[in-house]
Amino acid sequence: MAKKEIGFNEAVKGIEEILKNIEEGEPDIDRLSEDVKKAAELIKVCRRKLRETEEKIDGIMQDLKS
Amino acid sequence: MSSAGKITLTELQGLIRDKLYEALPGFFWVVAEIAEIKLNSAGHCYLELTGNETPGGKVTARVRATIWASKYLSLNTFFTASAGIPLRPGITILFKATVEYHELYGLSLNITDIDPSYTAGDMALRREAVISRLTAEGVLTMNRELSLPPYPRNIAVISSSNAAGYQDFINHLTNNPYGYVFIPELFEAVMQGESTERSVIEALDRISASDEHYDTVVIIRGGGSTTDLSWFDSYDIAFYVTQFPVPVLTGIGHEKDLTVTDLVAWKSVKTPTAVADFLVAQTLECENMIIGMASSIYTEAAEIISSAEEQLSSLQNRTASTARLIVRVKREQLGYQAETLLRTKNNLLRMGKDLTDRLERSLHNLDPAGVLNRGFTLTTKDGKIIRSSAALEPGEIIVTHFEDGKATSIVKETNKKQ
Repeated sequence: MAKKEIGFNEAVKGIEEILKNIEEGEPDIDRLSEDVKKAAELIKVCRRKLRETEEKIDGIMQDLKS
Repeated sequence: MSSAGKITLTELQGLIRDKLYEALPGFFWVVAEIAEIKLNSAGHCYLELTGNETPGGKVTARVRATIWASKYLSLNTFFTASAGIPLRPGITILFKATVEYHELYGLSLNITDIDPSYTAGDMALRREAVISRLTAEGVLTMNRELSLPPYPRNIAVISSSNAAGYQDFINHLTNNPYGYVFIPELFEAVMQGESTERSVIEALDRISASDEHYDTVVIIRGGGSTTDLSWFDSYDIAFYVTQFPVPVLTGIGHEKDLTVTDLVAWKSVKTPTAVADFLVAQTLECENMIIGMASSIYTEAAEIISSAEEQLSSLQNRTASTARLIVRVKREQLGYQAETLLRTKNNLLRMGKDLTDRLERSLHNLDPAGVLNRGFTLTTKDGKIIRSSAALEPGEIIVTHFEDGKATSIVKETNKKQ
């Protein structure tokens, strides 16, 4: 069964949490690359969602004009 | 009673006529209201005139009148053009007439001239009175205070189906260049003549009673050039319009002054075509508003996306730079630790060397040869080192070892240190 995809806001919150952890917490080198990788994945998800939303909006507006 | 002086009816009527002409020579300017007006096939105009100078409008005088065909055409044309209304029942006229008496038809007035300005003034006064009354009743602007839907789609039309104006209206509405769809429904009414008032009010009643909801009511007429619009100065029509629950639009073809119905309507334009154009323009405005809103939404959405992108970029940069910083700090820490370690190692090595040196020196000091060399001697008895005088008894043989040899001695006495 497909996992429910993470929402944009949830993803941004996740990135911010990771960032807070590495900025303010006791840095843990063993976890650092894992954290950065996780953040990068979340950023990718957000970017994709933004692009999809943008395309959808453009499509809708195009629809309106035709 | 003597019958000697008898005369015939014709003679009597002739007598009356002669006396009348003698008593009322020439012409009179008279004010009266037209109660009835008919035109016969020969073009002669027959009127019934009334006078009602008493308050309450009760008829106090009545007379027949004629306008001969030779006069009627020019008189009526001039009158209609000047007064703005044709000669018709209900209007008051100031006319020039001679008193006629005919043996067969009796008394009548022969009208030879009419002053249109009197009627115009009178109509204007009546119109003013209607407006004053509507104002006093506080209803004059009631219809105008309603709001017209942005897209007035269902339209109740009060008109006469065979009027050119109605056809123009329908054509303009259905063939609008934007392809907007309107649903007009005709409520047939008489739009001129005496029955106008009753007929228009009945049409308004039918619209009220209908199950259908209408966005607006349109009252239109048109076609004729010099037509009588004064029926639309009627108090009753105007009052109905003010009380109507949806906006009423009029296009009844006024030339100069608005009729009272125009005045109280939500909007009044000159022609039925103009009403149709207004409805189309209103809808266009509505569409433009929607397009404007859509464009605002699009701009807003684009801004949200762009600001989210900025936020993401900033998060990304911060993540990357923080991670790099951590790695660098750790690396520096590691370098420092390595250095410390090296330093510690060197110290330890040096310490070890010092220790071994010291030990070596100590060991060197312990070497008996070295000791003897510095002037100390070693004493043995039977090959064993003697460390205490107590271990010796007088007469025992001891050997004293020097650096360069030894000497054998006999113990004479022993003394312990006090």
